[in-house]
Amino acid sequence: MPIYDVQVSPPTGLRLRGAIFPVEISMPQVLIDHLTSQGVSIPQPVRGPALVDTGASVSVVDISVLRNLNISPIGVASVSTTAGIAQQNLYPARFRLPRIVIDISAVLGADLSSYGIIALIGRDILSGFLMIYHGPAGRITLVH
Amino acid sequence: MEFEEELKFFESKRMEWLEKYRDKYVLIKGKELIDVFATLEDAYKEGIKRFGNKPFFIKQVVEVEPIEKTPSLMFGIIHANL
Repeated sequence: MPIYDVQVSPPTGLRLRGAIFPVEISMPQVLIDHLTSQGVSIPQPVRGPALVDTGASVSVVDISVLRNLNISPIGVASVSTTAGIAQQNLYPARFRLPRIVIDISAVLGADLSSYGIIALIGRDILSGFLMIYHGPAGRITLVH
Repeated sequence: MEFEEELKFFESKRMEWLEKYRDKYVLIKGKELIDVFATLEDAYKEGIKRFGNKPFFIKQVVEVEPIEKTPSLMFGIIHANL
């Protein structure tokens, strides 16, 4: 069942802007439940565009979004960088895509502000989906 | 770097833990192994229960560390156009 189907017009727009989905990023449910039980207020989810990036092995969320949501890191990942392998913090997060909620165990935090997106959807999330990228028609379909 | 102490502790124990906890997830705070879990989600739940919304360290016990790759970010080519 498609959970998202978008037609970009003209079709070349899809090549220029990429497969972009509206997402909402929030604290993971476990953390929400914990803070709620303590009477602590929960930060509002952050909404914005996310770009599907099949080249990324792991999803990435803008670091300012993670800070605004007050999500603490839960470990590190070895990440390939231009300067070699570096350790970068991992954060838990909840993604709400159109019609589906995904609690992601660990995403990377990085500065995405200059790209006009709040997240990169990597192969960790895509591993649970079928995505049809119809270039000539300028259409993308996401199926769960 | 955050988790420097935990990472050093994990590396010092990796070979020993590979024999006991291969592919499991260890929850570490400072130089203390809190517990071992089958999934990252279970480790996270326990971490939240014990430490609340404070940083704690979870790592899967594997022999070879996977290297995550985000080439578009690495090379700054997310919206490169001709």
